Amino acid sequence: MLQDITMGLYIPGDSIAHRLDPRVKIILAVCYVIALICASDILSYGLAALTLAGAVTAAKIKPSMLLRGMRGFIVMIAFTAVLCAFMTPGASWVQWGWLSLSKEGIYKGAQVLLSFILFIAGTSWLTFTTSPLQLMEGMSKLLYPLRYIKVSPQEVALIMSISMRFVPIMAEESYRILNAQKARGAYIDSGNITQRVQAMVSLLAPLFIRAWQRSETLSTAMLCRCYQSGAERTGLRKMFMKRADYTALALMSAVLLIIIALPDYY
Amino acid sequence: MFTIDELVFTYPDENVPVLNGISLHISPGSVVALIGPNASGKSTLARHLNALLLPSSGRVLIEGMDSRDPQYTNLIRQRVGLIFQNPDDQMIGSNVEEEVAFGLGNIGVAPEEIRKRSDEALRMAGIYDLRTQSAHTLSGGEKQRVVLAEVLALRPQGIVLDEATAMLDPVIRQEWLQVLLSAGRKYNLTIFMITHHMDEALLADRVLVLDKGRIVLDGSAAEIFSKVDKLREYGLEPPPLQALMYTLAEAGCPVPAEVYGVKNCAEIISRMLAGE
Ligand SMILES: Nc1ncnc2c1ncn2[C@@H]1O[C@H](COP(=O)(O)OP(=O)(O)OP(=O)(O)O)[C@@H](O)[C@H]1O
Ligand SMILES: [Mg+2]
Repeated sequence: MLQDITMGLYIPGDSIAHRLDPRVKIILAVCYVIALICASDILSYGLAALTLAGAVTAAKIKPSMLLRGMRGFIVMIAFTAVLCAFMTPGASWVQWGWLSLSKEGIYKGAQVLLSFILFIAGTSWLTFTTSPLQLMEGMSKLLYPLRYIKVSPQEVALIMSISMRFVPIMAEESYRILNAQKARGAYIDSGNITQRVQAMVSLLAPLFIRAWQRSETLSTAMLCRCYQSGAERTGLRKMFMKRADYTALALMSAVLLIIIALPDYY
Repeated sequence: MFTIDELVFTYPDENVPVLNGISLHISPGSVVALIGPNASGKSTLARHLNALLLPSSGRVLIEGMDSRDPQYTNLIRQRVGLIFQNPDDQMIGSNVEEEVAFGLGNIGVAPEEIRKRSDEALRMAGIYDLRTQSAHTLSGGEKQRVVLAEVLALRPQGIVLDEATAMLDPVIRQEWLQVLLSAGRKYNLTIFMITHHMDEALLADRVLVLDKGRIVLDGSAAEIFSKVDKLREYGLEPPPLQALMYTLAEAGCPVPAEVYGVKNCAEIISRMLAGE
């Protein structure tokens, strides 16, 4: 399960999406997330899904890659959706003993399910097409206004992109530890609740220790490469906006506006 | 290149110093190996050479710049590259080119110049053809070459290796060292390498032995490795040739203590056999 987390992974390529300005891609992703938050009807979700499909095509990413990324979260998403469905108040539609499900509840559950899936797919699109360093450079440019409140944009961008880089590394690491502990007879997939919790704790402890060590050495290595927090950096490529960037921004704003403008109805 | 004066260092919240009065002068362009048992303070000393750690007392001068003076910190780190054991812990970018450009971006080099300098470093490290590959598809040896290229791109005067070859297999290790040494000759770099491999230390012009935070032996490789009993006292095992000579001498054979490679050793033995 854990090795399926492809979130935060970068897939090198030379597609239109890969060549977009990293700043633009970050803005696109943010707009998309806002659109998902505003979406409340079938039409809006359809439009968001269509946008995603377009973006994925432009990135030449295999849809199976996106699905694989989803697999690690599916239990969590499904659980949240079901919980949401039952918790939403409304006139009972189906009744099993003391459990009752309303039409509103089903609607709400489906909505949660859809937006989670679209959300994960969208953020994966961003990291699939943008390398961590590009993300970092793009973010520090976008966060430039933070300067005025005495926060270093580079610092924030760095922390964010490093934590993203850690996701696949940690997934790999936990998979390794998991196997090592399974070999020693840990109950992760089986056993009663107490045994499972114990097994989980013994998985997490080494994972955190390793994560801490890794971040420690990584930050030392960065200092050795003359990294100074708060200093102005330059990049391999100058960031500049091309026609594709403006087109992408225009399309995304249109989608966002339509979704916001679409009337909410149940 | 490096001048160390009475360096004493204690980690914060500890009471026993890890480095205990080290004085050294390392001249530019030399290749120096530092060996010593675990926990003798080797890594701690290495971190003083590029101002990652600052002396508790005494001082460390890097090209005349005092490491405690904050105005020099960044320049010192440009001049002295530090390479660690695990390449995965040192890589920030996702593709090779980007990785090599990271350091140059940090010191504010212009994009065209970054391209030029990183291409040169990639060629020097023999990985120019891999430049668009993503980091996680590379082998360990290739990754460590990327780290080397990244350091070379900053055009340093010295490179410090903290067991940089420990994770490479023997053949790859030799290849990597040869790349490093030829870069060293080309740019007249000072190379300071910490190693647990005695055959690596044999490549150096000078070998230092650190024990409990003190430099206990200092001399040419031939000289240091001839002191077999001393080395064993510090828990170090000399390379096989030197150990052989030592054992022969102990058995009463008339062999010199210092040997210089297989050829020299073979000559000594054949002369000895002919003499009998
Ligand atoms: N950050 C730290 N805080 C406190 N003590 C430390 C720290 N780092 C190292 N030490 C201690 O300092 C001593 C020397 O450590 P150092 O890592 O320099 O040894 P080393 O010679 O590099 O060993 P090895 O061969 O295992 O790499 C050890 O006793 C170690 O426990
Ligand atoms: Mg060490």
